[in-house]
Amino acid sequence: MDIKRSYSSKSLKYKVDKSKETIKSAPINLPLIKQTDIATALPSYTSILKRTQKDGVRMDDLDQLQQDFERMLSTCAVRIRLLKAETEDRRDKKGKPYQPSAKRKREDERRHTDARNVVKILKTKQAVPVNNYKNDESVRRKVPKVIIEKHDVSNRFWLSLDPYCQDVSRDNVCFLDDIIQECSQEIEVKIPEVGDHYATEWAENTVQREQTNGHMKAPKKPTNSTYSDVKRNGVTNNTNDTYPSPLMQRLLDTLIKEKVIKQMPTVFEKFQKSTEYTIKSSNGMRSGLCLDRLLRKELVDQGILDVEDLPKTYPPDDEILMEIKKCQQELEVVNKHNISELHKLKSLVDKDIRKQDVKAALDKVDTQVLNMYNKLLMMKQNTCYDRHKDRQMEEDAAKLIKEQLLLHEELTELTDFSLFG
Amino acid sequence: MPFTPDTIAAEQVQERLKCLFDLVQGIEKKRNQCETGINSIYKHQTSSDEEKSSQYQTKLKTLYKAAINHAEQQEEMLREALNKITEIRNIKNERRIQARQTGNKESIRPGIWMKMLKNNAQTMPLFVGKIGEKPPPLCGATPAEAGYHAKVGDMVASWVEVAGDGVNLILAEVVTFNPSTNKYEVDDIIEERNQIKRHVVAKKFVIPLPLMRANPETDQEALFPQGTIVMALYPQTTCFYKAIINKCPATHVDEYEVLFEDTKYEEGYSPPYLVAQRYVISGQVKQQQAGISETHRNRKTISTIPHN
Repeated sequence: MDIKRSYSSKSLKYKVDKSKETIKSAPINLPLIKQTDIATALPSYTSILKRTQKDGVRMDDLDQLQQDFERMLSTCAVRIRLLKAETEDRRDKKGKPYQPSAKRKREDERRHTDARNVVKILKTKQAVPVNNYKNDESVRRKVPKVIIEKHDVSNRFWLSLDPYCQDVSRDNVCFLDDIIQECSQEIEVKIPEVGDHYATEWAENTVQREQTNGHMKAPKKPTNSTYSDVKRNGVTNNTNDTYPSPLMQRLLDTLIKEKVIKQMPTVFEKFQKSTEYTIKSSNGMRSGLCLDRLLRKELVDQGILDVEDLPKTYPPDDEILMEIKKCQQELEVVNKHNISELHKLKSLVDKDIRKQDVKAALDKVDTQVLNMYNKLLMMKQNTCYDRHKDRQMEEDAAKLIKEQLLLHEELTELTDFSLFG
Repeated sequence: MPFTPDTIAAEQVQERLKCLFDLVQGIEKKRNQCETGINSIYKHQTSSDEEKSSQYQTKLKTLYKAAINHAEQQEEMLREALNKITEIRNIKNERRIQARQTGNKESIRPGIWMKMLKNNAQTMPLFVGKIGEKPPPLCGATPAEAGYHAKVGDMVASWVEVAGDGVNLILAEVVTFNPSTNKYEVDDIIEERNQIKRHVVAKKFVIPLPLMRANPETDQEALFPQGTIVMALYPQTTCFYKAIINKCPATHVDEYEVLFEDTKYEEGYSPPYLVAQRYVISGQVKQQQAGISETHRNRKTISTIPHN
């Protein structure tokens, strides 16, 4: 057999290390226990090979044989890994320059993001095991790097607070003015008056229906009389007798507006029928019974209501109206308080704006004073020295400092006021 | 011939030994194939080194594929052969436990024990992971699964009270495990010490020893990295002591090089000792659990054990 390379299993590590270096450039060094070496590297294995079937394997061969097998297995496993790495590497080379696969990239990204979320500290003392046959770089890439979490929660928090810590501006004053103006307006809530809402309309409808009915029965009869009769007599005079009481009407009005009545058609029909009936039977609405009286009567008849339960006064006390008025009064009190608070706030804001102005002025004077000081210093350093100019400047400086003092006093006053006032 | 358990076991062993012989022949064939394949790769690479044509690439690729194929076949056979050896050892161990249970005690001198322990560590099955395969529990430094308990006859490290020497982490063998009380009954590996009474130890004070060695060439992640604090069996004793890994094994036959914590030395550490993978365990947590203070432990045990 043609054996070109000798391989000593004892120097396996060295060989593998070498192969790592040459993995990219052919020829690669693949670990293999060669024919020439097996006698020394695998003693038990070689001796068993020479034996006949009859001699076979003995128990005392086992320990050494196991080691021999393990050595071969390990070499084999390393070789497979190397060969696989090599074929993959070649595949990459064939196309374009080596690029990590999409999967690898994704893994890297994930690892990166993971590391961002969690602070990972690597103990530098503990060396990370590195497989010798592998590309060193790929192993090192698995090592989590020390990345301190970059969070901007605190920044975001302070940003969110920023608008509340800013100086008050003219816009805020305008806003306050608007609110005060709005709150100072009189509250005008119209409470619908107790009265006939549908009485007129319904009267007209009934008359019209009557007319058409009558027309169909006796078409020759003049129709105008009934309608004009209603008009002439006036609706208000007859409501109490013919139509529901004002409270009832308001109730109906609400029900109709909210379309609740549709949900109880039987009641509605009953109303209609009874109305029709009374109108028909009495042949006119004057003699028609009041709807709610009829209803009340029916309820008493059926035993649902007692005679004593019925309100004594007519019309009964309007509790709803009283409640509404009470609420209105409460609202007015709250509103007054709000207005006074708003005024207080406004005065504070005004003071603050004044303070800002003073502060701005003080800043301006401060810079002027500084400039003056610098100028004076320059002048004094300068050899050509103008006495007159110097005096004037000193006067200016004194003036400025006085102004500065005044402004400062004012500012202190304002600040004290806002703090303790 | 009567069918005693011994003869049955012997037959089973013989059958496996026969298989092994056949496997050796098969493996040799595969090994030859691999060698030829790799030689042709080298030949191809050296002969047409400059010629980087697509033809060259395709041929090289086919050669690689063939080499991978051969290597995989060889690997498969080697795994089978190693399995047979493990089976034989298991049969033998089973017989030993059975014999002990029937009261047939073998008296072994401590010196022989030491040899046996060494042999035991060397012949513990080796784990050679396939690509992407993770090392199983109790392989090298890989810890046992939660809820795992060592089987009867397994070797463990156990915290026990040694008369006049405080609490020690000793090498012991599991006699029974009672799941209801969660306690082990263990025997000190040195038989003379068991005459007084057997140790009954709670599960948390018993650390199962690795059942497989990790192959440094393929599964380095299953080894304790350099600088790790471990509990290691002090050479020529049957006690585990705190140590630091100084050097990891480089091949499957190598052992860990460890430095034992020892106040006798100026640096506080002993000179490097070699300890097999089987007798190096992570003892950090258990030690705290046991509440053992450093001062309680000294190396008296070493001197009490007669050296071979």
